[in-house]
Amino acid sequence: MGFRRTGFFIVLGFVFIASMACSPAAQPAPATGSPAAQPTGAAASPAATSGPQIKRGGMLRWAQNGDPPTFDVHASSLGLLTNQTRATHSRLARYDYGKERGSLIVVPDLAERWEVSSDAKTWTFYLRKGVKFHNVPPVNGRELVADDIKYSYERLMGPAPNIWKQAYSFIDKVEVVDKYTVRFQLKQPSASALYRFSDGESAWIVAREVIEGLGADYGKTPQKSLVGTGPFIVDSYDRGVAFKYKRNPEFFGTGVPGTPYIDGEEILIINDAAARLAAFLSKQIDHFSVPVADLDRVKSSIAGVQIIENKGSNTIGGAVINVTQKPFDNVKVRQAMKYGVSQQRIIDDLFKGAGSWNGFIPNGLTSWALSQDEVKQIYKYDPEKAKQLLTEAGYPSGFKGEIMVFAGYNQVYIDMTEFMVADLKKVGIDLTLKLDPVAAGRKAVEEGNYFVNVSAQITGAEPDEFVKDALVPGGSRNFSRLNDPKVTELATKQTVIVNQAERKKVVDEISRYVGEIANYIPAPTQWSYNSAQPYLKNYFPDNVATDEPVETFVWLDR
Amino acid sequence: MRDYIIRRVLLMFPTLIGVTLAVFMLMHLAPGDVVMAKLVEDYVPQEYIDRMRAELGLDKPLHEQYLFWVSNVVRGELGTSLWSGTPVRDELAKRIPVSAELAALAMLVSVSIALPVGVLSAIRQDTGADYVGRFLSIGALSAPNFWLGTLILVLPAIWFGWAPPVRFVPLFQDPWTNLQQMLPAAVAMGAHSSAVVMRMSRSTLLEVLRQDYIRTAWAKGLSERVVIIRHALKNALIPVVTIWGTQLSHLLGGAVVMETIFSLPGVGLAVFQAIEHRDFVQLQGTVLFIAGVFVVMNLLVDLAYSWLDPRIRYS
Repeated sequence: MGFRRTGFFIVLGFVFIASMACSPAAQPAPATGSPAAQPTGAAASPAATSGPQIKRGGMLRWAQNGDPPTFDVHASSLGLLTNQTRATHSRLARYDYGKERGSLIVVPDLAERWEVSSDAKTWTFYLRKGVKFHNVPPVNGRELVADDIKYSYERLMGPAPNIWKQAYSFIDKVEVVDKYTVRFQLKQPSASALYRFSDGESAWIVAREVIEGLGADYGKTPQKSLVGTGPFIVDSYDRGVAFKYKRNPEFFGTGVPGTPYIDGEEILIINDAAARLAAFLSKQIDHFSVPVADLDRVKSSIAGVQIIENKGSNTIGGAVINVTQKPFDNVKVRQAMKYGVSQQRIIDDLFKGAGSWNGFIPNGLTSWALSQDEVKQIYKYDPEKAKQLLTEAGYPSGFKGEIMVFAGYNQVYIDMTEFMVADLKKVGIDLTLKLDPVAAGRKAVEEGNYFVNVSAQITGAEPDEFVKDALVPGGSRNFSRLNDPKVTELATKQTVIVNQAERKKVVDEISRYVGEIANYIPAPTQWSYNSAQPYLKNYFPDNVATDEPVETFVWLDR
Repeated sequence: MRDYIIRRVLLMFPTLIGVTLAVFMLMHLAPGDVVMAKLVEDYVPQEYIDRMRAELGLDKPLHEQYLFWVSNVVRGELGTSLWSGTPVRDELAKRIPVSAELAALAMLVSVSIALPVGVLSAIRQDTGADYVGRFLSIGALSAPNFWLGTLILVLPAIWFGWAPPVRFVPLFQDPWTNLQQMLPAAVAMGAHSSAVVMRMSRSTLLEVLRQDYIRTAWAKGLSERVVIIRHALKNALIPVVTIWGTQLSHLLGGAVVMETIFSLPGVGLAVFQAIEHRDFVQLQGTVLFIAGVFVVMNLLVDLAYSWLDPRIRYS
């Protein structure tokens, strides 16, 4: 009988097994003595890295889940793009690397120092001398000067394709004082301007000749568009496969001599979560954001793996209430909603215990948020009090209404809304969950044609983005359409207080007051986890605002 | 025969138009569009969103958008991706070889398993070998290929710290690495396909083996090999070829899940990304290609019948 084709299977099996055996990942894991997790807030910046022996060289490999829609550094805030721009570009200032997350300490980047006038309306930046653009056409390694800052910021203040016009509208004009000095005149005093100058999504400094030289082609390819003063130069890009960067030998060091320590990085495009897990377990990528469900698997599969727990967020997620719509114009109704929603139940039942409470300023902004204890007091679950407030408001039998959530945006908000709806129903507030497409839903929210909306309302690095934008009439994100003289006064007051401790007092007062007027009902934060191979050193992933330049400071101790 | 082919080719056009129209309508029925996919994290003024939509032609009535796309296709242009700005034609040209290689390997896996097992099951009907073959085929049929693919990818990573290389390398650049990437996906895809083909091979062969002419062949004293291969198998293959054709079409164009799981930048992954980005131009161009593959494969299968069975004639 000649029908048994077992030979083929033997060959196939051999090829498969041999391929496993010969794969680089099959090599023994590097011996390290690193602890299971690097402590949060451990020293990482220049001075701090004097302790451990820094090892130079090697390629960092990690993954993102798609290609960016553009390579215009000012045209998108998607992480798909900012993962690239933080490698190739620099800002006037940046957030300190490795400090306790959420503290958002600003340190010099392209500017070596800055001054702010007493009225907080004039900011003067003094640039480092000798900073060079990448040594590629058309800039060919020329020196960065104040004109580049002016050009970049005028672009950020300008029209599309830049998307940041509104965010930078606080700047009145940018003046070049001399070759290395640039001055910003603001329209209004702003203690928070520094955070905008440090913003890791937008504040990238570009060269005029790159943008104008490419014209309509700017943003189409990374090799030609991502030309800046950053630590890495684009080496290659294979759409749908990978980005490859090589070390910029002329990098100015951003205050940390010798950086970057690695020879380059490769950002792989891996769409599937299981594939990212497999890539990490097989040591083909050096770090990744590990889903909660896979946490134990990762811990048990890689000896000495580093797990970094992110318990904070820089986003207010939750319900925003339109205070101009009946019955939500009645503060007692809103307070009833506040007492009728249990953050703890969402944490326990939806996040399986892995979550943190949120107040108005999100818990990740540790310098500005209220303490967890105080937040738990302000937003405590008290259904009896909710019912009492409803009775006082004239709704003893409760009422019916509508709660809108965006479809196709983020499933966790839909899930949390379902919890809120269930909680509120128990106190007599019967809200119908309405799913709106993101575009239509946002338009309705911006125009005030909604009652209650649950979403990631605001993401920011500093109080102004929450307070001024979200609580003051005319604010770009005053979705609750609040017009409360007390809030307006406090919000205007805090924005010009340069002393942080003093400012914090006012911000806290606002946070407490928002708890009283209950135009926002915050939702808790689900903890997230990053994991890193044992040999990846000095790794402090960013999870609060800003895309901190991790690649600049890590090294590989294989 | 020529008239038949011409007629079939002409019939392709309404099919393709129907498919692209259905895709277009479905994409617009679902909430959101490519502009919101790009700006999902941003609050930008409405006029900015409107301007972006106008630049991409999304402000025009739906029928105009579709007709504009069709007019481009007629001129041989598949349009430009609304997400990346790259020509869809270039993107497809880059991705087709990846999907073709994967389909070929999956087909190889499928045929290599299905035919021997199917024939063995038929000629050893109701024996242990038959039961094992049928049990395995039902198992492979029942297991969703995304599940099988995920297991093939993740289990070796958990058990041995090994996974297929994640950075895709073209076949001619590094065949060894390429095969390490392709084979696991091909096995996951081929397993399901092999089960379908195996069951069909077995049942048709059983039917043919009961025909009078096979009894005559045995009576003539021909060897088992000659009876099975020369007389029975060729006739039994006609329905099997139909299944192969359909399976190959599926493998060529429908490897959406496998290519996504195994990070293979083929046509299937392009479909996934186009849907994710609400990029209907990219999606329609890709679907047009896939539909074209199906139509052409069906035609080729029909033509193959007359080769396998000279009694079949098209007129």
